[in-house]
Amino acid sequence: MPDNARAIADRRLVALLLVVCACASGGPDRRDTASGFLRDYAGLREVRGARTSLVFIEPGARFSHYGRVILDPVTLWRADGPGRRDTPWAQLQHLADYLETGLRDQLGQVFELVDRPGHDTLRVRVAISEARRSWILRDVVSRRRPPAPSFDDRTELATGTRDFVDAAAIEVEVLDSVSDRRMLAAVDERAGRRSLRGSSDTWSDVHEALDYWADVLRTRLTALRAFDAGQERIGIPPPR
Amino acid sequence: MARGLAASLAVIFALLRAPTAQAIDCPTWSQLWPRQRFAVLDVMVRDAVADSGARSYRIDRGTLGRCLESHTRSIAADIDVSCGEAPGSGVLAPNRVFKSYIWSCAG
Repeated sequence: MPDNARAIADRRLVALLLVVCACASGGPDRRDTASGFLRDYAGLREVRGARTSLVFIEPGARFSHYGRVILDPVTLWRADGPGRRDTPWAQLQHLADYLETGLRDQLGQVFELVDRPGHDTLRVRVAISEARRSWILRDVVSRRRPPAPSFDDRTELATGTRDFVDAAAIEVEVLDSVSDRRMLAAVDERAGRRSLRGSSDTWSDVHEALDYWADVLRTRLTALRAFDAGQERIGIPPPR
Repeated sequence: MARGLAASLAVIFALLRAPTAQAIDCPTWSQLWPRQRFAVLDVMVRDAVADSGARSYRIDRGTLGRCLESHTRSIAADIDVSCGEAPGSGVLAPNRVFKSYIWSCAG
């Protein structure tokens, strides 16, 4: 075989092997993080910043175009099946209600909160999930009302609640409210333990963690808005 | 070779002279030397925490900037991967990677 033809054959073989390897690996495996809350986990990539997140950002997303937010009720996704601990339903409901209230407070500082879709309106979906379990069910949906005052900061958590919070991930999806196009999806695993110093034994710890995550979401969305706004100011057209 | 280097330097000078960085695309990124890529990322970090943008949105610019700076190697590597996967993606791939780090660094 002439050298030239052999070189071409070799290159084809290498290309074929690369394709086979790529198919076999299939990119980052996110099955173990999938609770089912996000519509798609395939596009998530691990990013190590101030904390490790799995993030997907739509290439053409321009967050600076949006000044309003529809905040969907916060949902809790819990593992089902053997080993599931009994957890007082009222405590889980409190988690969802408390986080929704915090998110409304935080997002309301930088977005106008609305109930109807619009061209400048994002839909924000947030869930607390047991991301590494096999069988996940949507369990609790927040109600838009102040969290129950019965969960005093000094009150101890039920064991099941503590386990849930310690292992919890925060999952976020941001959509264009009109087109339903997904602009951003993210999972922060083990959100509870990461944000808590030490173990979470009282409601004070849990409230602190949920306040923290509401603040983080506001900061992140506003940082993206600021960056996109800067790009527009210097005349970079929105990507098509 | 010389022409490619000149083109790369022209891109870098243009980026550094501009008050804010233009979005860089994959073909341009792939022509840059590693040191040039870090220079581009420095400008992007500067833009991400620029007064005109971040201040009006009440962001802790110091924390965000330090986090982004400390991850420039990872950002560069991830842009390499993204541009390798979709070389025709223009400005989308570098921008998308950088914004995912903004997400992870903010807050």
